[in-house]
Amino acid sequence: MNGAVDQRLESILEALLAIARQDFKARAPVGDDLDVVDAIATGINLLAEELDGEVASRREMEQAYEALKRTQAQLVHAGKLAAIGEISSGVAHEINNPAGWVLLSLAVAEREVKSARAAVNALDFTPDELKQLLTKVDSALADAREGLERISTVAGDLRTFARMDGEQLEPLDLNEVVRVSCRIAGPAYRSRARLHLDLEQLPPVTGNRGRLGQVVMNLVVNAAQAVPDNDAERQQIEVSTRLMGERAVLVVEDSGPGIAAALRERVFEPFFTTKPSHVGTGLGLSLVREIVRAHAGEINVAQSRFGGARIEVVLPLCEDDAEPVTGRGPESGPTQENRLRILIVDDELMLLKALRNYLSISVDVVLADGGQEALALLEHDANFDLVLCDVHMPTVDGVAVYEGVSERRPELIDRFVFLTGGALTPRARDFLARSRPKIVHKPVQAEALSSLLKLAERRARRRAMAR
Amino acid sequence: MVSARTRNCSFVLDERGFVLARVDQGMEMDIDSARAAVRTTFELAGEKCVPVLVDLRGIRYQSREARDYLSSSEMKAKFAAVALLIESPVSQVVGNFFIRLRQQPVPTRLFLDEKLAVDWLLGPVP
Repeated sequence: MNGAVDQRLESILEALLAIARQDFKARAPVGDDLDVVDAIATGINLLAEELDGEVASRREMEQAYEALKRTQAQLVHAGKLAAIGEISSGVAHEINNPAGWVLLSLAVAEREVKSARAAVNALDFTPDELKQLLTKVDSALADAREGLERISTVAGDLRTFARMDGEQLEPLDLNEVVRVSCRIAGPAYRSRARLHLDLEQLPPVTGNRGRLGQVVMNLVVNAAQAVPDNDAERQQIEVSTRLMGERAVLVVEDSGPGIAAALRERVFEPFFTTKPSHVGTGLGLSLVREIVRAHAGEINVAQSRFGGARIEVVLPLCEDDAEPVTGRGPESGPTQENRLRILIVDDELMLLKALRNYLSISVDVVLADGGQEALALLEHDANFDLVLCDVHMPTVDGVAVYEGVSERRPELIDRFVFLTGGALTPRARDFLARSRPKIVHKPVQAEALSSLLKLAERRARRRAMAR
Repeated sequence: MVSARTRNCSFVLDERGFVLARVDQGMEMDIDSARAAVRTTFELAGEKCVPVLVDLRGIRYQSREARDYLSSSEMKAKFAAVALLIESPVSQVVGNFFIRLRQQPVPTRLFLDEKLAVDWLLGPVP
């Protein structure tokens, strides 16, 4: 091989090595001979150009994929907003009704007390008349109490959805999630169909309470939207759960028109909907599938025995024998024999007073107005059987009180119970997730307090025996 | 004989009913010259869809954009069939790249012999 050819081949080799280093813009020199050596150079150049084009196409595809992922995230967010919208309207309805009758009942009580006062002032009443007035006041106050309990239940149900964005998984009772979600979804179905719950006792599943609540609610709202309007007596929605081997099965079925077999796979596509354009976003079922998959579950569509759609969600059970987290304390009540001593820490004075009024019949209550006061008090007095402490307080919050106690009064840590209304700072949320202390949710219910007192008393007895 | 010319290619409308397009020696076909060649061929044929014999023997390079354009479905309305005449090693490489890497919208074949190419073009519809 002569020197000139060698030189041309070397140049081609250089270009080839550059291309191998992924420099697809490199080109081999092509002479004027258009001979074999030039053909090799041309072939290499053509290949490099094709590779360069492929790389550019791949980059474009990657960019398109990223854009698609962003759009999908936006869709998911839109779906969450839609779910929040459903929840809000349900909650507004559920709270407004009892709030209305609480106000009316209080007005009645006020009016009757006013009459009684006037009669007493004028000394113009018979004992029977006074009894009658007091009975009316009792009745009005009982109604108001019932209304507030109803509101309190709704607020409690809302906690299910409070962490809809969180991904925290915990062992939970699927039936409880179903009951709560169906209550919240009440306004969506009550005027359209009768809802029947058929819940078989289940071991706990591992899941995110808010997400699974969203699944149930979406399915129930979808079912309600599917049945014909103005025929609530005949239309049915059934939500059932059952155990199938190592899995829990949730089924929501309705008596609507159903979904044609050819469309059953498509109902999970974003924006696919068989409903009129003003009903729903078309995102509900695609979100439901996404959530179910994130729980390692499956979702299927079939025909319901009522003639409508039947959506079946299969979820794996907890792998261990974990107890479901329900947010409720053990069932027990306070005793009258040994008076417990409890510290209540909160920055809400009305709540402090109400708790003292309620509890001081059976226990000794010490109040601390905020975290700072609590820490100062605990410095010289730690003789408490129970510390009830609000999480969200200005300056020194519940987490800071807990940390202070664990440092200076570690013996009290087991007796520490947090009160929370659900509005948590990220710091408090992290702390609660990490430390998993006992929590009582606001509004505080009498039953929850009784349970706490029972528990505190049992522990106090155990401590006394140990001494 | 009707003929035409672009910057680096000459064209003749053969009386047998096809256009002969012959690239100049050392032609580097980019997207502009490809477009010009297609436009000239079509005009020369009286804007009729006729077979084309392309003498690629002098070609030195054909860009990716040119290949994409010449393989686009737009060609279906311009050419009935395309015979590519190759001879030099470089034209063989370019021709093979062209017809192997892209799906051609009209019947296209490579020929080393001009007579065989013309026979194929004028034969039964390929």
